[in-house]
This record gives sequence, C-alpha cells and structure tokens, in this order.
Amino acid sequence: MSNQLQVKEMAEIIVMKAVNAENELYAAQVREKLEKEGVFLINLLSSPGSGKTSLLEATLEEWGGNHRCAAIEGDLFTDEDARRLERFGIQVVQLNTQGSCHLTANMIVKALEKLDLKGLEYLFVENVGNLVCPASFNLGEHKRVTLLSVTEGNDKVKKYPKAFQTAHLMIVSKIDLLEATDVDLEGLREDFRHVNPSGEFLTLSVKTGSGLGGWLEKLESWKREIKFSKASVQKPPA
Amino acid sequence: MHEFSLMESVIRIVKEASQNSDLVRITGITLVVGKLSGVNIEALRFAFEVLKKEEPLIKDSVLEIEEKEGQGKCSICDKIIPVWHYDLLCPDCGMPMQVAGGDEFYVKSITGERDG
Repeated sequence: MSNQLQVKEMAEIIVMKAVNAENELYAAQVREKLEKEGVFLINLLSSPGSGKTSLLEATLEEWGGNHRCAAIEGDLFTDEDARRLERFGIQVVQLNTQGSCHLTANMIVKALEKLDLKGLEYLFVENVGNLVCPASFNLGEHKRVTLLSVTEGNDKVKKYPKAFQTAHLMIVSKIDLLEATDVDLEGLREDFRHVNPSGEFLTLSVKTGSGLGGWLEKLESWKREIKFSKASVQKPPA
Repeated sequence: MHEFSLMESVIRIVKEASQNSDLVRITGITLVVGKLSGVNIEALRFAFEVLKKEEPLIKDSVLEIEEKEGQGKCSICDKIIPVWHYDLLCPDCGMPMQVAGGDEFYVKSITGERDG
C-alpha cells in the first residue's frame, strides 16, 4: 500500500445481494419463455447411473408419440445420451459442461434457442449425474424429480439431503433388483418424509415396467394442474 | 465443489456494486453464509484466495464470512429450534420441520476507497 499525499475516502457499501441472484434471473427467463409456449419443464436429478436416461427412454416408448416431448441432456462429456433419445424422433440438445458438476439456468437459456418450442408439451432436462451441486441451481423448472436406485443403498437421502429436500417427487428406481439389496423401501420413504414433508414418492422399474404407469399419470396430472400464466410462477427452491 | 463458480458470482456482484458506488479499490468483502446453504466455507475461502489474484480491484481485500445458524419450524406447533441438517423432526410433536432460516448466501457489504 503506497502512502499518497491525499488520503483516500473510505466507504462501506451495503450490498445485500444473493449470490444465486444471477442464476435466478436466468431461471426466470427460462420460465417466462416456456410459459408463453405452454411447455412444462422437468428437471431430473440423480447420481450417475440411477437410470435418468432409461426412465426417459421408457417414458417416450410408452407415450409413443402421444405427447410432444424434447430433452436437454447434461453431461461432462460425450453425446451418448442425446443419441439414445434421438431414436424416438424428438428434439434433443446435448450440453457438455466439460468438467463442471451441474447445469446452470443460463445454459438452459442457450439450449432453448436451439429448440423449436412451438407445440411442445414436455421438456425434460437431465442434469449432470451428481446428488450434490445440481440441487443448488434452479433451472426454471416447474417440477424437480430426484431419482435414487435401490443399488445405491439406504443412507443416501440422509447423506445428500438437499437433492431430496428440493424435489417435488422422489423416485426409487430399479426396484426389480430390490431382492438383491438390503434396501428398506419404507425406511427410504420415511427418510424422505423427514427432509421433505410435502414431497411425493414413487417406486418403479423400467425393466419390468412396474410403477411406470404411476409416473406417466403423474406427469400428465402435473401438466394439467399448471396454469401457464406468470401468476403461477412458484418460488424457486432455495 | 461448485464454490469456484459461486465465488465468481460473488466477484461479479462486488464489481457491479463498486462501479455503482465509485469504489476503486476494495479492502473488505462481507458474506453471509447459512449453515444449511450447502456452501463449504473452507472451499469458498480457497476459491477467493485463488481468484482475487486475477482481479486488480480486490487483490488487497480481506474476506469476512458471517455464519448463520440453521433454523427449523415445526409444521404442526410452529416451534422454532436450531438445526444443523435437513433431517428434521420436532422434539415435541415428532413431526417433520421446515427450514426457517440458515439457508441464505449473500453479499452483505463491501468496503473500499472511493474515487477522487
């Protein structure tokens, strides 16, 4: 620090600005753009390998073109997931974060520019496989869904609470493998209720199709409930 | 580990606030971090020390962090108790509790030299 002839005036400025304010701004942009077109946005969270892409494949397969869908795929590298979903003839945007552990709302703003939103009903965002960071970033979604496969064990809701606390729905996947694990489904449901009393809970297997109907009904009833006007914009998860 | 990108956002907020108030050299930045915000303070401090070297405006500044305790509110009896994680049950009712505080993360204030 140099001593200058003139003493500088020191000042304290009160800022009071949330660090995620920037992301919230982009999230609001996403929401506004989608609501104008009547598109319902779902943000899918889970660890890598819990079956997010498989769930989307099963959803598209079951619907068989009855609903107009699109997907945004988040991965560190490769377009493998995008190619898996393109087989169903839907629009897919692959986002590669090149090492970053989560998607942010400004990435979704950019991805929307690549999609034709006219007539679209459902837009699925498959977040980067990670139960930690994606939980802190609102993407402007109408609903957040967090998957946990039975092979991940009993303790994950307690260990990674924010991903479950901010979800509207928790899905336990791969229940066809339940017998091979020591997972207690009722225990998982109870752990989830503790961190998220108002959250909904589903179990399913895309292999056997068990529980898949409940998921599809959930998607349709959610979309029916949403009134696409600015007044319906809900508070983003903290 | 997204504390680097969070710290980049902090620095953007600090730059904008100093431009708006004609501060030319920042000496102090105060953040408020709730214990339920999911932000790791140690990683945040590390990110600050790395990133500030690249920013002339803040290279001599000191980072102050005020931690806020987590608070939970019972969905039945409205009792408020200090909590430190999300797995919350009311000690009286045994019912799940809602987070009522301690999940905040914001830039509170900056101190610096004014232009002129």
